Amino acid sequence: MDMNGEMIKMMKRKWFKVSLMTFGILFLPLIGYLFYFCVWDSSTAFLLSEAELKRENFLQDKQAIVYFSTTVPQNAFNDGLSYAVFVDDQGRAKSWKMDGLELGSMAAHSNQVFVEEKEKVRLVGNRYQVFPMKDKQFTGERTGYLEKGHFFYSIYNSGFDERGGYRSDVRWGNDKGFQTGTIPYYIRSSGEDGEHFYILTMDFTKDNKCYLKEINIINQKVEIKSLTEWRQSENSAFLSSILADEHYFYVVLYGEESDFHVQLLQINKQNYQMERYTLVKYPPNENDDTLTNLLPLGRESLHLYNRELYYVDGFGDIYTFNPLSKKVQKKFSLLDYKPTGGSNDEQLYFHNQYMYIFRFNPSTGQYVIEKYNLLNGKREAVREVTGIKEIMAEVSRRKKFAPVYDFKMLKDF
Amino acid sequence: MKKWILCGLSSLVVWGMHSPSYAASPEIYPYVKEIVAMQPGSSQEEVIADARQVAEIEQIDVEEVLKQMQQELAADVKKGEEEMKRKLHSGSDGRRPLPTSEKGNVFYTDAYSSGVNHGHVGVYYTNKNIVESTSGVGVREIEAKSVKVYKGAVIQSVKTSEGKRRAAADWAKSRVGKDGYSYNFANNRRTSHYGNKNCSKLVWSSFILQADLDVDKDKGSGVYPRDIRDSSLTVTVKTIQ
Repeated sequence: MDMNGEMIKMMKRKWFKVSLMTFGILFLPLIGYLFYFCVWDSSTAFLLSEAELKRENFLQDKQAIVYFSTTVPQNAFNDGLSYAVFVDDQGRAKSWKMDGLELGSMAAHSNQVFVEEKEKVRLVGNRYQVFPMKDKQFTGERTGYLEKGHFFYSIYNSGFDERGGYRSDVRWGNDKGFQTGTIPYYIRSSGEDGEHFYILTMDFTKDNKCYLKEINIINQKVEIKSLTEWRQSENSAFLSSILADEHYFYVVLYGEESDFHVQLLQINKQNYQMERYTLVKYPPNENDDTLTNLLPLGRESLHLYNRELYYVDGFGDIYTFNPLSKKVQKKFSLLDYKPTGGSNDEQLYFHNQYMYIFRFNPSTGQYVIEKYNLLNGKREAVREVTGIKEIMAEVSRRKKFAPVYDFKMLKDF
Repeated sequence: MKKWILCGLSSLVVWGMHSPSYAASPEIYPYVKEIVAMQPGSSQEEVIADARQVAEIEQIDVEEVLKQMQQELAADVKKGEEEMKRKLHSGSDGRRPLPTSEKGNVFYTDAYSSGVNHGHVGVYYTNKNIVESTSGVGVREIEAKSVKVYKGAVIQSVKTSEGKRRAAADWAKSRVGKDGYSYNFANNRRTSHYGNKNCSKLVWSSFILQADLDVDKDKGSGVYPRDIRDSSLTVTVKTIQ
């Protein structure tokens, strides 16, 4: 009986060991794999915690903001990624990690930054607040601050509604709360002048009609006013946001004459009379990268300063248009810049006579912010930004890529 | 008496387990968990419901449908893994914008979710705008220059007349505002052309309805993005470098 008892004990021990080994062989690699891909984040040291974001003086030493996101097809199983990057005075970046929001962006106003996210919006700075939103968004269009209404806003390419109409949802608000509404069109280009939003839409089923509309938020409702309409080639597309001065709207387009012909469309605000002016005619070549290199360097590629329009193309060339003389000239070219085949590894930010470029410089292997003076074309400063490569390495490790979709300076350097 | 009650209850349980039409539990079917694991986003119940629908139409066993779905899905995942090893994408390989192309042309790009390269396709409905079906949104339109793809993505022309390519593009565009997204790749050839669909189903339906062309390479239960890219009816006109 004792012998049997010993044997049973030994068998049990052996069984336990075998079970443990089997578990180890079968499940530990699986657990390790799941941990590696789903839990562990190698970029943790460069990520912001919510406690940091909540700090009242969080923005005090911040100089620039950048938004990266994976694209929608990479979000098939809800595993997309976005990063709101805050760069400090020393060029050190730390990122707030979020769910994927293709073409996402941020806005800044009066020591406050508005961060749009898939299911919420966040105010950082003066007073930290998070506002959950009832509808998820997957693709951004623009964000900003409307001076007249004293609110931040964001517009999205949302898809469609239950009745089959197109939906471009709008979120707007401030520290008192956020509202949502819908613009029932697919937006081709948009802009604002501090008082109103403007959108350009096209209807390919109605003789390729193009429409300019003014959007207002009145009594917590989105109101849409049609300003003018015209016919435009189905092969045309807009390359810039809509800009406005006291007399005209401006937007850059191509494809109206040919895909290599980039034009400025000027619309009179009083009578809606239109003129198209040639900005650049590229040598036509279907087989090289001209068609992708000519795409503008960033989403905000058009700037108005001191009665002169500035347009930056993907070759790194800066063109000016004078609305009075109608004269176009190639003003200057970016230094140490090689066209990236439209990779859009760059974004632009304009402030008065200065243009800032956030980009990855392949020759130095650095992310940098460069400052150009638009008046003389001089590059006045270059600042390396650290802490982004580590974030991108993490994105790559997850077999994804995250283009830079937005960049804004919070203060000068 | 207790024995009789227990026996009766046991019989009910056993009977329930062996009557697929009444059982709701996905565990009774083989392959379901594997299908869902390879196709995250879909639920076991959805997979079974789809398989049952197909089984009823084609007068075959639900298990047989599930087996076909699992085998094709596994083959596609394996193909994606093999391509992933060969290409070894880095983060900087992404970010290429889709260039302009002709209306009716299709594009294919690698696309990774949950570590799986499932690929992605869409169709040009003008030379600068595309229609695609994406999760969360469904069938949507977007400007080609806003769509970022991997290096090595291809633009392809379908071997048919220009008129039919344009008609296919118009049909795809007509689904914007109507069709949501479906995670069901595994038997999407057998579901309706109208209603929720994924990216490859959108392109496949466009050409089968408007050009009478089956642009699915292997014509199995499901049409996957790579099936369209590798079809003998699609020819690459541009590779994005």
